[in-house]
Amino acid sequence: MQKAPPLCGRPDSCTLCAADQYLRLQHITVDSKIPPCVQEDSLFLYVESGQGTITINGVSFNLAPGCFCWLQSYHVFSLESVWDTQLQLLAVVYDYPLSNYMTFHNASAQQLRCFATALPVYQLSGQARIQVETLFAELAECNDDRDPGSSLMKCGILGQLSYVFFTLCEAYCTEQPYSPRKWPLGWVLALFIAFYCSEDLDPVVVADNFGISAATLNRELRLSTGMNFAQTLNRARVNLASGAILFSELSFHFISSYCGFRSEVAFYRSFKELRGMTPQEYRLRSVNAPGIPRKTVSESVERILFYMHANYKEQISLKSMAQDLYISENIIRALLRDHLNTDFKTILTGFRIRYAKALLVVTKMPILDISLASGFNSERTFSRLFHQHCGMSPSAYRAEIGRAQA
Amino acid sequence: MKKLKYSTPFYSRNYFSENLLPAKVWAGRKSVQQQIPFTQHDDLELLLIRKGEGLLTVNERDYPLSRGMLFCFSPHHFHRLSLPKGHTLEVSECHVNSGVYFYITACPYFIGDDRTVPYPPLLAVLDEAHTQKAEALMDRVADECEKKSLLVAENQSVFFLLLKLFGTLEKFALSQ
Repeated sequence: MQKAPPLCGRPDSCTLCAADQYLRLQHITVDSKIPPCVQEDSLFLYVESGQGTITINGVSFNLAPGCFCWLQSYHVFSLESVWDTQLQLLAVVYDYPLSNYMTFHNASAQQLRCFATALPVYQLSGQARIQVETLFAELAECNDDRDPGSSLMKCGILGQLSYVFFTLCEAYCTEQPYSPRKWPLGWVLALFIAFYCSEDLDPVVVADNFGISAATLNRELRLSTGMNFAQTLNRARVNLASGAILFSELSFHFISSYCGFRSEVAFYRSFKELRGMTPQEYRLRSVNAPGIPRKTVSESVERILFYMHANYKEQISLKSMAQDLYISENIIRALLRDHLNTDFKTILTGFRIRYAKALLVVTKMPILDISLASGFNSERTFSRLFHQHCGMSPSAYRAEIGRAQA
Repeated sequence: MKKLKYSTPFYSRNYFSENLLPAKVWAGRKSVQQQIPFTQHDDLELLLIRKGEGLLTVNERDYPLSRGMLFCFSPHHFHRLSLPKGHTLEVSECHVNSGVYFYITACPYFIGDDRTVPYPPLLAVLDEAHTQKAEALMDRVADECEKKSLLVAENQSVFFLLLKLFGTLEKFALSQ
C-alpha cells in the first residue's frame, strides 16, 4: 500500500453499475488504465489473471491473481495494469437494496468495524480462494437466466461472497487489533462523511473534529477523491436515498429528512444532478429495469402476512388486525388487492381450512373441536366454508381419506 | 462536537421489525426404513430424495419417489411415506419456520405471484448435476445448524444457503 498521486478533476461515473448490470457477472479487461470513477452501488472485483494496481481514495493496492475487492459507493477508484500486460477481472454488482435485505435488521458491530478499519482488498490463498472461485463459477453458470428462481440463487451466491469477505475482514481485525493502519487524511474523511452523512454536517465542525482547518479538509478530500466536501456529502446522501426509495411506503419528504437534506427541494436538486432523473423516475426505473427487474418493498404487506400467519388460529378480524398493526382497514384492503391480488377473507379462510384438513386427517378430534381450534366461530360456519372449498363436508372428507389410507 | 449517531452507508431501513424475524432452521439427513403415517407440523419442510424409491402422499395426492426430487411442504400439509418392504429411502430434510419463507419471497429480486403459502406442495425434479448440488447444499445447512445457532438472523450463512435451495426449487418447479 502506498500513497497515490493526487487526482485532478472530478471522477467519472462508473458504467459497471448501470441499471442493466444488476446480478450479472461482468468480465473486464484492463489494457492500460481506467481513469478514476465512482459508482452508485457496491461492487465485488476478483482478479483472474494479470498484475496491476487499484487506487482507492488515494491509496494504491497491488493486484495479483486471487485478489478480492469489495468497493463501496464512497470509493473513488482507478485501475491500472502493469505496462504491456492485461488485467483480467470479474466484477459483480452487490446493490445496496439487496445488501440491506441480506443484513436483516442492522449492522452487527463486527460488520461496521470491517467497513471502518479493515482493508477493501485482500489477496486470497488456500481455502478462501477456492471458495470464492467456486462462487464466481456458479455465478457464471446461471449468468443469463432471468427467472425468479435463478435470481434467488444469484442473491444467495452474492450473500456468500459478502460472507467470505466479512470473514477475511474479521481475520484482519483480530490480527492487528490495536494498531490501526495509518490511512491518509482524505481516506478517513471520505469514510467519515459516508458514515455520518445523515447528520447535519458542517465542514467547519468536521474539520475541528480532525484538528484541521476547513480549507485543509477540502484540499485533502479533493486530492484523494477529486470531490470537495459538499460534493462528497451530497453523493453519500443521494446514495443513501436511492436505497430508501425502494421502500414504496416512504414518502420523499421522509426520505429527504432521513438522509440529512435540509429541505425536500434540496433533495430533488441533488438527486437530479447526480442521477440525471427525479426520485419518482428512479423508483419507476428500479421496478421496470432493462435487466433483471427489482420490486419495491412494502413493509406493511410483510407485517400483514406475518400477522395473519401467526394468528389465524385465533379469532381475528380485519378490524382487530387493523388495530393491532396500526394500519387502517381501507389501507389493508388496498394493499392486499394491489400486492397480492386477493383479500383478507380469502387468505384467512385458506390458512384455516388447510389447518383444519390436517387436523381432520392426522387426529381423531371431533369436528366441533377442530372448527374452534382452527379459528372458526362455530361448527356451522366451518362446515359451510369447508363445503365451498372442497365440495364435501368435513366428516365426508375424513372418511374418504381414511378409506384411501386403508 | 456533539455526539453523532452512528449510521452507515450500508443500511437504509429495516425490512422487518425485530420481533418478526428470529426464524428457526433445522436440517438433517436420515434413512427411512419403515412406513411413516400421516404427519403435519407448523414448519415449512424441504425434502430431498437422495436414494431409493417409495410413495409419498401429500394432501390427497400420491407422488412416486425417485432420486432428485425436491419437495417443499407448506405448514400443515399432511404427508405420509410408504415404502416397499425391505427398502430403505435416503432423504435430507430441512425444517424452516414459515417466517423464512416470507422473508425469502420479500427479496427485492424475487418477483413471484404467490406470497401466501402455496396450497399444492412445490415439487422440483432435478437432473443429476443439480441433485448433487442440492445434496451438497442440504449437507452444508445441516453442518451449519449443528455448529451454530438455529436462528437465521444470527447465522446468516445458513440463510444464503437457503436462498440457493429455494432458488433451485423455484427454477425447476413443476407446474401442477
